[in-house]
Amino acid sequence: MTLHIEGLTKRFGSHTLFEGLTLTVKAPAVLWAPSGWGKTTLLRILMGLERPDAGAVTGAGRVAAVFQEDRLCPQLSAVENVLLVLPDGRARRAAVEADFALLGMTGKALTLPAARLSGGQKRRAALLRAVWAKADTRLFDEPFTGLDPEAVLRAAALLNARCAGAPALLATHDRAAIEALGWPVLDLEALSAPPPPGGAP
Amino acid sequence: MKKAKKTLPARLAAAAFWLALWQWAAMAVGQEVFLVSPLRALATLARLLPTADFWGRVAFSSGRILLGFGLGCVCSAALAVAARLSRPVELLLDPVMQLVKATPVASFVILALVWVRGRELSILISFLMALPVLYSAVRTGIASADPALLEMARVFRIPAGRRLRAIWLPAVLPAFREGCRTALGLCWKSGVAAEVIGLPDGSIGDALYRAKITLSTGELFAWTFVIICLSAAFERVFLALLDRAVRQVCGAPPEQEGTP
Repeated sequence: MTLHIEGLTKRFGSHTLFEGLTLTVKAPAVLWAPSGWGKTTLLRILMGLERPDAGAVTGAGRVAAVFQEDRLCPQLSAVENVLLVLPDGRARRAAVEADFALLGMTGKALTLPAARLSGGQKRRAALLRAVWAKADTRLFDEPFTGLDPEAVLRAAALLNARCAGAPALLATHDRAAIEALGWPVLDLEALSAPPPPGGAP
Repeated sequence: MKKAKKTLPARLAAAAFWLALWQWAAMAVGQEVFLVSPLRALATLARLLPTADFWGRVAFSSGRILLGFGLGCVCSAALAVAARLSRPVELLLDPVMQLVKATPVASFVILALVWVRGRELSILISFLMALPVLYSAVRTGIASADPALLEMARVFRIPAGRRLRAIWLPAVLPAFREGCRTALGLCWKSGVAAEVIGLPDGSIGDALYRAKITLSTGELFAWTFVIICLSAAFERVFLALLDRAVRQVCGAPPEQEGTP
């Protein structure tokens, strides 16, 4: 599947976030843009949660995502949060647990309800949920927030291995992570028409 | 919990104080018709307990009141879900629920006597008492579901059954539990009140009414005590069952797999 973004424009009132964004995604790529450009909004449009003011998105298919927030079910454990999005969840438990171990989460951290996990542990669960879910397109909104540098490298290695060959977009400002991922970096400002004068903050 | 245990002797002492005062007042009045003594009421209860008539009445009234409550649970949940799904339904139901909530039990009873037989009266009354309370409880619970999680479920296309278990039930059950607590007490009080007016044969309300016409204050007190106990017992049992459900759905530890 290929993700096509064509002439995408989003405004909030008189403020234009981005205009005329055109992009084709066949393989994983990093989204790069200054803060406040509207990356989160762009990702939410790709998830089908917001409507663009102009332009169209085609070929997104089934989406899996790491949201800006973790959005885990607080009463379920980290593993169960991942299994929740898998049709054959129970059968995959061991494999999912192995991935958690790869990211440095084992033992008690896997059985505690998500509400009692640390920020970094929650982020790992949100990340693995997006990796494991059955999806045509994967979207990651700052997935490394709250992870220590060592964990960022492990997470990047995992993403690199699991996301290859399908459209995936990952928004981050973490240069070490971008390097570790080795994915092409898409400069969003260059891919969209410049906002009208006075539009940028 | 610990605190409650510490104050237990104090609570017992307080209860003993009021019982003693009651006994003293009864002796001072000296007229059993006006105020029966606690010992006398207890003796009446002891006389009632071994009779088949007593248990028949308990079963008759409990069954009907709980049936009304159960119907109220089912209908209120269904209506609250419908109100969530459709704005017109919500708008239509709002005044009805307000009205049902505000109408005095006595009005319902007299109106209901025209519609249904006296025997089934307490089912209807108990249902009408539970309905608005549980309806607003379930709606509060539904409203408290995390929109961020619902969005997540939409993006990941989580099937409805899993959504219900992982997102909706954990939001609704605690509010529903609180609603049930209030509704159960209401059902008992108003259900028995309905029986006192409708006088179905073999009901607790009928027994209360007989106590009144025979001026048997002892029986009145004994039956009242029984109603309080029944109401409290059913509340305990029901809430315990509900708590188990809450623990299973919102539960702390994840479900146990067969093998460790």
